[in-house]
Amino acid sequence: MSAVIRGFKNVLAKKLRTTGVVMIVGFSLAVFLTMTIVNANISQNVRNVSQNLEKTVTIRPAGSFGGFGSTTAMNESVVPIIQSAEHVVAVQKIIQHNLVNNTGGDQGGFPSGFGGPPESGGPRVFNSRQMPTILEGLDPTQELVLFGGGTVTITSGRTMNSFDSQSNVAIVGASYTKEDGTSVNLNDIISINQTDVTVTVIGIYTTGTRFGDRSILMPYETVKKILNVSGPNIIYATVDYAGNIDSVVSALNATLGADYDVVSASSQGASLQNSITQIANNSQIGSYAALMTGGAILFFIMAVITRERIREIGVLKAIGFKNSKIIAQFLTESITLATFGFIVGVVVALVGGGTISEILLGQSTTSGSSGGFVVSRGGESGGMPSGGRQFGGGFLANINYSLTPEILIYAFLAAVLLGVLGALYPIMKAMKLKPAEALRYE
Amino acid sequence: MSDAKVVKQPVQPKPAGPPGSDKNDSRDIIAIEKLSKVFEKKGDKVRALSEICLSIKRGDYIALQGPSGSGKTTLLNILGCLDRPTSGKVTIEGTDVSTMNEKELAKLRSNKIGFIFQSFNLIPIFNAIENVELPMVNTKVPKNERKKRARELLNLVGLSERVRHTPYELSAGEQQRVAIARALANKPLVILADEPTGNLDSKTGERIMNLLGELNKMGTTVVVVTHDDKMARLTKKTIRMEDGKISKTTGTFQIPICDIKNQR
Repeated sequence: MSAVIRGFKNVLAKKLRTTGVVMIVGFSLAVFLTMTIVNANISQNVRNVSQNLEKTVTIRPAGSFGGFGSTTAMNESVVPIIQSAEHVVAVQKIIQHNLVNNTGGDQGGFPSGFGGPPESGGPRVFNSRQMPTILEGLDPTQELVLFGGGTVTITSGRTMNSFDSQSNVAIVGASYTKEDGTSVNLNDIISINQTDVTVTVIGIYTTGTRFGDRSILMPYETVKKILNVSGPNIIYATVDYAGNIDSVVSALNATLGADYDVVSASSQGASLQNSITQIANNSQIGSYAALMTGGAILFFIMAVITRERIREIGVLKAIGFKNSKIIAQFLTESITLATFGFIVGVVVALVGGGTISEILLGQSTTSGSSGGFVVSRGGESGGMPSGGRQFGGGFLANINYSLTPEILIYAFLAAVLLGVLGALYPIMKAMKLKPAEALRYE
Repeated sequence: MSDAKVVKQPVQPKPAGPPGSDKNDSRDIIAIEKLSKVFEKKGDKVRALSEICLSIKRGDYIALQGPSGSGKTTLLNILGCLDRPTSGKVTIEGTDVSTMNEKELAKLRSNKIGFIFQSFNLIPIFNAIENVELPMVNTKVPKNERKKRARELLNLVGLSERVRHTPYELSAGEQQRVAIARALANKPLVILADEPTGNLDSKTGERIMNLLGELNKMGTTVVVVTHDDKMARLTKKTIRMEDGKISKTTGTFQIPICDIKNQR
């Protein structure tokens, strides 16, 4: 009957107390684990964004940076020029157009007036309301780049393919229907207000974020027809190596002249990275706060447990137990509680990690305090972040709530640390009592 | 009971005899000399024991009596190395324990002293046999022997049918008998019992005192703190304490010179 067995027996003997402590410690560890996972994922996302940004050059009509997209179409003839630039490995031409508040007059090359009442009996007419809806014309053969960021996942129907290049088809974001109460289903025929072009919905997509799901994606050529524009308002050029980005920017600036703004995404995205890093830091702080909370709870519980068992400590001393053996027993109890808490924490983190992170980080992001979410929400007020590839929302949505051995080891060590720290001070204090004092203790 | 027969004899620590119960060995097993204990609480000093001298011989069955606050429990705690004296000397089997550190005292308690408490102080999560085994864990008695001895001791105190019962499943008298078995586990030199009948009805209390008497007849040295004269009469010797001093003794004591004036 070693100190360890006595410790185990004590933990198992008091089921109600053990359950309560394990639940509290478990939840703290679950928050710690979740925040650690979020942190690891966000950090990875930051690295991914950095890599993407570092290799991307954005070309827009001059003067359009800082506002949403551009109301001026670029000439398509610049695409092969950009394509032929040294170190450029891919070029993507995109039309992005905000359907919100377009009730004013004609804005350059892009028409206004996408809002309006639904037509009875005809195809469904998209009527953008409070939230921005982004009409995006993309090359179906290339990666689907969203204004709101995130990765496109088709929830029903199919994505666009190369054979859709000239077709009147669309993929609609899931949150448009949720937010506006407009029921858009697969195979619905829709039209953009005041145009004769009707489009068939071939897919519904989600990115997992409200803002990322606010786009209507169509083939580039289809959007050209709908908007009656001659070319894209954004062109992304991908360079072969991040170290060549500055030379590509210089070369394109020289080649394209003053009518175009050529900017490396890395410089434009620096603030975005800072914001995302801020979220990562917040989640890190959150994880430590959760750990400290768990530690504090365990400390106070162990203090109470130790205090109420000081007479028992006195008895053990009286019958000859050395302090080291009594300390070992209480440490075992505390570490056992923390270990059970760790198991509960792992289960809770795996099952409810998404919910926890949404509660802890989701609300703070919508409050607009910091982070990449603010950047993405900036689009609502008309601010289109430059160099916008795969950024903005989606950082929580893309998180994979799986526990790596490294995170599990961290969490287990954290649990053991909590257990040791929780028990050590109260038990050491109790150890200072003489056996006679401990036996007299009320 | 007759008054104390005082024999003037200075404290002479003698060679340690074998632990446990040698009825024919009448050497001092515990000797105290000019023992004082002062408690300090919030600046106030309370003298609990004042220059007491006493020797306990192998095979003694002594009752420590006196009103509350007279110093009986303090004396018992010091005899059992649960507390340290403010001044004076305590020798157990000729070894001065005043200079021992906590680790050495723990070992001494484990090997030579058995405690019985008023409120039994059994470990609630352990059953009777596990409680009795507990002191033997310290002395590294092999598991099988531990179990065997614990069973024998529970049999000795009449609880052979209750070995698997937890303290909550035992009556007060049964719990105290488990505590007595636990006190005997390591074959101690002396059993120190602090009000062992205090939480028991008189009939059960008498049974416990008789059990301690039986153990004494088998050679175990027993010192009992009790308020109850009836219980005290079941012992061989009594020491009456008042205001931290020995005021009266009955039975034969070899009282050290230093304490003679206290006895008269």
